[in-house]
Amino acid sequence: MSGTIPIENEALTGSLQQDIRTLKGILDRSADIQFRYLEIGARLHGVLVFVNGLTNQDLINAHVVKPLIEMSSGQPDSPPEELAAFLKNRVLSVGQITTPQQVYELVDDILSGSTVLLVDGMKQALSISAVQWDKRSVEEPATEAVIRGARDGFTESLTTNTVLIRKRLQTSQLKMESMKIGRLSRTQVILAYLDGIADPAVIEEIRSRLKRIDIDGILESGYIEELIEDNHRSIFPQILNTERPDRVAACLLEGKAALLINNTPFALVMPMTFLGFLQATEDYYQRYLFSTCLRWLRYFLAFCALTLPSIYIALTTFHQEMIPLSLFLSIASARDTVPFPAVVEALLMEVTFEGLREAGVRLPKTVGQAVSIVGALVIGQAAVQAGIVGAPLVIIVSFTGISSFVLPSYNQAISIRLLRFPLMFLASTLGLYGILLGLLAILIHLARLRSFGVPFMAPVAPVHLSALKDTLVRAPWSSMKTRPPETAKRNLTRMRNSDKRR
Amino acid sequence: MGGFPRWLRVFLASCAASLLLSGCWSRNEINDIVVVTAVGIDKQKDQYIVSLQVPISRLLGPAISGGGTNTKLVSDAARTMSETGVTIMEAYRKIQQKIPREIYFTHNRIIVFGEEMAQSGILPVMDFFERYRQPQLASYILVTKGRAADVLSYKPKIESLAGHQFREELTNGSVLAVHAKDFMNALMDDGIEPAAGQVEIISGDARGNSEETGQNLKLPDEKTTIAMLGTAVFKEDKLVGWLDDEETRGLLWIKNEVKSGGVITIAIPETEGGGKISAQLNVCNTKMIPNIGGDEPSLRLRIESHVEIFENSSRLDLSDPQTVEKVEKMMETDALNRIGEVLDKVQKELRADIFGFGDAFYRKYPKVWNHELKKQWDDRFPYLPVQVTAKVKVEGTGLSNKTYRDGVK
Repeated sequence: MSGTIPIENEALTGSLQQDIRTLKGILDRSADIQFRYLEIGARLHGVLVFVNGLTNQDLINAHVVKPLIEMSSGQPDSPPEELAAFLKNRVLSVGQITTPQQVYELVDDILSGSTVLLVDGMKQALSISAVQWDKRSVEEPATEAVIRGARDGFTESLTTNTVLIRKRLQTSQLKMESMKIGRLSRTQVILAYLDGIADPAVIEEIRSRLKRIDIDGILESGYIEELIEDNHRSIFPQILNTERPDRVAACLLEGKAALLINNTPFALVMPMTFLGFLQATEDYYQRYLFSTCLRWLRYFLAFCALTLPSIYIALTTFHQEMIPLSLFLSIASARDTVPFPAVVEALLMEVTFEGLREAGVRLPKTVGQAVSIVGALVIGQAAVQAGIVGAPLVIIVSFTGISSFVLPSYNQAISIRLLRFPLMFLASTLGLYGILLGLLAILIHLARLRSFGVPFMAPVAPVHLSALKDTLVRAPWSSMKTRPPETAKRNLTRMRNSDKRR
Repeated sequence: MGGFPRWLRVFLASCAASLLLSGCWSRNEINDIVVVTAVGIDKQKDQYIVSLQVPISRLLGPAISGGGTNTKLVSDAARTMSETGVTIMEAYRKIQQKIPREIYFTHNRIIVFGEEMAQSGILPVMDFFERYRQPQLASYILVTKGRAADVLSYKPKIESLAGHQFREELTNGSVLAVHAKDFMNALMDDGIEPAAGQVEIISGDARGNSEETGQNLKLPDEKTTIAMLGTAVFKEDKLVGWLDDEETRGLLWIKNEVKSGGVITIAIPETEGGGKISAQLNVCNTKMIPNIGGDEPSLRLRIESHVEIFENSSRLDLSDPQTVEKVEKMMETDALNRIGEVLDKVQKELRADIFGFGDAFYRKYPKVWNHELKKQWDDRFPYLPVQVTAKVKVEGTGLSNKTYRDGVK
């Protein structure tokens, strides 16, 4: 993990002055790194180095500084080599202490919030992990609200996030491998998976891809997502990102792996299939008949979000004979006043709608109300009355907009939103044939895509009949005895003989 | 797409993309076309008069932007344009010159022939409708006494377009609803002659007898309405005669095309208390059973229907099964009479086999039909002995049993 900026590969010398000078050389000009000098046992000199704000001051004061200062002068009578062990085992009443020797380890620890104790004559330093900083409390995830289900979401603190997963999967099979990615950001990343269910080949693939990342900083999971994806140029995401720990836990149970990344509440789950993005966590918490219907609704609306404006353009421009007469006359009368061809009208409305949506994301709450009024009145009503767009098109555009909100996964929703536009162009030049060509191209692309070795369109292509019961419908739990074969090949049994009665 | 050098890939992709440069052929904005909802054809000496009914979309859409003036114009929503020409296409071209938008036949529903046109043979006209690219063989065919153009320019009251009104009345089931393709099939087939519905503009008030109202009246708009009155009978492609309302009902019965809604009324003789009973036909089944006994072909018509009595103004008590049986017998007689009338008229007077008896023979005795009967059918049909048996079953008597008359002494 070493980059172009060399960190000393030296070891501590043991001489306090020397070591302090080394450290100060590396950590200079940083007002938030404190050096707190103290006397240990009235004989030895030591220094505590820590980052102001990242440490639990009370803990340090009470359990490190106090015991050290109060050590009687006769105490550290052991030779210096055993001083570190003595301090660690007998004096410092703190939970996590390690003993690094290399300078770069020290620097790493200091910068990640540990407090480092250097003592004159000690060749090792004591790295005390008492990290505490202001973090957001666990609250409902902003982007994925549910009606029924847990309301805790990930936060920016990695330890909180791992706890949320650990609470749900209290098994020794849950493995959490840690690594640091990013030369300058040294972001801690945790790879979580269930040993025995997840495919070891896939886990190894993930590990190797993570190791290959050579970037200066990882600020958000999106960076990692793009860097390890199979095909980052594709419009469709192949890795899921979610703020919900229950979603992650469910995916882990299916044999997938999760990446928890420090400083972001968005965890990554891989490998994913296209249909996996269309499933919502709540499907499994509500009754299965209702969830099945909701799933069908979602599939239908996803299709609408993709093709509805294009179908409108194709029908009104090329295939008027397919529109029933009364509808035809309605549309014709509405379009009488519009000076543009159907394509331009549709594009205008779509672009306006997208602009409105983006503006809504960035607006401060106080202005938000005004914008929705502007949107509804200006664009809906006034534009129709002014004869710039026709009323049927406003309906179509709003329905398309609503449909795209139905998709549970935002990154997939944006790809579908984006694909609308090429389809509209194809519809305006080649009619329904153009739409079919576009859909075929999308299908071919999707079928070729793989996510960490798993075909993206599984279980539809290649077909796994048993797995279809969880994609086409939401089968009741009594039927879901096996895990999805595409990710959990090794361990398919989910339930054993639990339902003799049903 | 591995393996191909980059320049080749780019080249192929741009070749594929250049497909889009060809432009959008056959592209038609909705406002550049005008749909035709009804077509009328008349004949004048040697020329055809083609009338097209086109709706004006501006007046037909939902009321937008303070439209209060729309209501008055709704019945004016369609325009009829006529032109003469030596062929249909010529006349149609001339009409196209008068309209700023392209004429689109795809939503057409009705083709109306004037009497003169129908009498001179409509085969040349049907060729146009079959050949022209836009599909019209699903339209209904209607014939009118007088001129088709007048029927087309009728301003309907209940629907917004006359074309709508025609179509709804046709699917009512009170008259023969013939699609152009069925008409053509009947034309080409030796075993059946085509027939079509008859449409007239009549007075909206009480109907007089058909001679008076047979002509297209020039009454003020508020008093007239369009009605499907009867049937036009063709031999080959020429009109040979008309069937009136009653006869049409018999025709529908024979052809097994009675939809629910047909009504049978019988009059109870005075000796039993007088009054009338009306029943609605729920189910009607007719079987044509041809028979070649010895050398003479004959046909048996077996009619079965289930009716439900909805009006009883006689003194008969319908809760008594014996009375019901009597009523059934009376209805059967009525049915036989009605069918007998139609048979007479069509066989003896019009001599055109619109029932499809020939087809029935073909189905059962194909060899005999093909060798002998086909050629002689024109001569044999008028003398074909037809034996009719009818069976009527009263399924129910509506919601009440006894009549009110019993209570009023």
